[in-house]
Amino acid sequence: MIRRLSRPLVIILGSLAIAQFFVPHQASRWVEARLLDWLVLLESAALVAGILALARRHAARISRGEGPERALAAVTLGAMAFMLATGLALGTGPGSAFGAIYLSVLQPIQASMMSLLGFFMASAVFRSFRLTSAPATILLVSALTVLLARVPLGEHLVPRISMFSTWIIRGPNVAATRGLWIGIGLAACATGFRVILGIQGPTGAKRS
Amino acid sequence: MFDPAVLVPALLTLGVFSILYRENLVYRIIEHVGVGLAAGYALAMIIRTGLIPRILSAAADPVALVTMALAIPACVGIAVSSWRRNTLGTVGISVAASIAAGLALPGIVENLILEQMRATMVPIGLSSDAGFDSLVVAIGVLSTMAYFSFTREPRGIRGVAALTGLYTLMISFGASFGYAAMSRFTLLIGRFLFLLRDWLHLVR
Amino acid sequence: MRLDYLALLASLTRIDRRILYLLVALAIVIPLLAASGTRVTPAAESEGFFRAVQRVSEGQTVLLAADYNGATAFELEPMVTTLVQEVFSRGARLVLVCLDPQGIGLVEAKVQMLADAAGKTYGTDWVFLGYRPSAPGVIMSLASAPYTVFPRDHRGTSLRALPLAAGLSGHSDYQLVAVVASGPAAQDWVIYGHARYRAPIVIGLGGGLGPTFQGFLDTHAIAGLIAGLRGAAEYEQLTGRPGEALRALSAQAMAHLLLIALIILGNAAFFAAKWRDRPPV
Repeated sequence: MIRRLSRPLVIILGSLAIAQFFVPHQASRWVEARLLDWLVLLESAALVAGILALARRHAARISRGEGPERALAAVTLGAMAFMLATGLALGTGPGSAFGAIYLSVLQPIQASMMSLLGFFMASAVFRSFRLTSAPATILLVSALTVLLARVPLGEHLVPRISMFSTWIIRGPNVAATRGLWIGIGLAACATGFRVILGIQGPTGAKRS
Repeated sequence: MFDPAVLVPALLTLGVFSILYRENLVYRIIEHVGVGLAAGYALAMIIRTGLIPRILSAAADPVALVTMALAIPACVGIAVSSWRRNTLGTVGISVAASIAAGLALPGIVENLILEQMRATMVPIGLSSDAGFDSLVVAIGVLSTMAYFSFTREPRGIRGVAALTGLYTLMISFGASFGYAAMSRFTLLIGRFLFLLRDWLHLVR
Repeated sequence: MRLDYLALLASLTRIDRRILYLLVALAIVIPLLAASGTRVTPAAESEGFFRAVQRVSEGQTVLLAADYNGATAFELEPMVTTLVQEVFSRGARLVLVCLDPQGIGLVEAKVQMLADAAGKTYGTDWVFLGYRPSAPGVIMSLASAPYTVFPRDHRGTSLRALPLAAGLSGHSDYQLVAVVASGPAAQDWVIYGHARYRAPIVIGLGGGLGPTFQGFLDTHAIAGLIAGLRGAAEYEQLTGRPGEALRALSAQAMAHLLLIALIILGNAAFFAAKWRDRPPV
């Protein structure tokens, strides 16, 4: 029964959500507040589901895996449980143990992991950025111009490079991104209407 | 230098950088600790600062209480769907997607389609810099869209337009690459600055 | 013995990646040790960002969405630092929100430090609403019904009990919406926020997204844009508050030069190897 009701429910709620933009009435604001509340609650649940799925996956690796894989999965689960317990038991505010672990352990790990991309990018550029075709050459010249314009020495090496770089950003770059945004917008509208009409999405996928 | 608040992050940074030499167990342990802590951190934050205050405030507000009560079955269904697919979870996700799509559509039409088209439809010409730039943008936008038009084979004028679109895209991707490189190096500078200044005190 | 330059150049294609990594490290460490200051010429979009903040006056409220995490903090924190210092120095008030679950602790610690330095009181001069999942939900509810999604602030205090937050009603509360984001949250602010907030929106972005958002300046969806460390440095210079971004810029310039050299050298080595291995005529 719930499944049968889901499509009308999806259509009604989606239509109500669109209508909020066009109806600046107090009642409309009230409905919008409820829709937003549901959206935040449902997305919170989706985030929890994602974290539980991660925990489940690592629990499965502990029971089925072997050697270091099993130990590493245990490390992940242990770290997750430790952080969760610390946050729930001792609070999450600044100055708490939870905050200290975040700033001294998690933040440096995240920052260091992300910064590795700088090394990898240099290596990839050296090995793969090749003048092998006309599009690749244009891409490379554009990249070199933007990079050089951002260096104080650039203007000495190539006069007016900053002006040319600014033109690239405000001219062809805006043109390409604008074309992409319009395309993305049109595709998002089509997908949005399919979701609202229950043709696409978790309930619609099964029907079709 | 030996203050745990600085020493621990410094050692973790060096541990992560050890992957640059070769694959090793220290890196993998740090990687898994990071994933676990990040998940635990997000979950604790959602519960402590999102769900608990929401439940407490609902107790004093009948409307909030009813709204939450209606959402609870779907929320439970979504959470359970991480290990078992269920109808309530599927309906909950569909409802969330439908509300999000409905709320997004007007903004998408306005900001991604109409306003972008309006900004392209400005006076063009060759006599002024602004007119020339507008001409470049107009040609670039049309040709970029032509590049992604797959209904007919790109021959003749369509082929020229698609090729112009490809070149416009390449210029844009090149510029994006330049900015992305800047961004990645910035993060690396951040780590080195931490090591040299906060840990080793070699830099003021 | 004559040196075979072609073979030498071609042999670079087989260079160990660790040598490249070492070069990158040196290109960053040496300028940092040299600690040379640098100046930049601000771009028009950075000036737009600066002017939008300058228009905020005493007693007005700024909504700051700090949507970044530990991974991208070094790039975006200088923007938040300068922006918050500017807002507080102008006597304006700050409503802070975070859309990245991994960035909450970082954002709160940073703004708390800046507020303490400026002698600002929590609840009266600034408020941290915290994090909620769903960027669209948060952006739109802050514009229409803030108490629905944020009945309490991040510290668990009822919003109605805080002097600054007690009078919040929606989009007309703010004189400026400032977004500092490393990811797609900035796009959400344009799509969901532009039509709903009466205040101008300014965006500070991770560098990689900078070119993608240029088009929104022409449509006036955003009033100003600062992208990456360079944008942060330009903003620091415009406000006369030299900080972390201006300091790190010389290292970035050296890294850029290395990257340019690697691109040229990589291509030279590639074509040298191709020339050497060409079939005999």
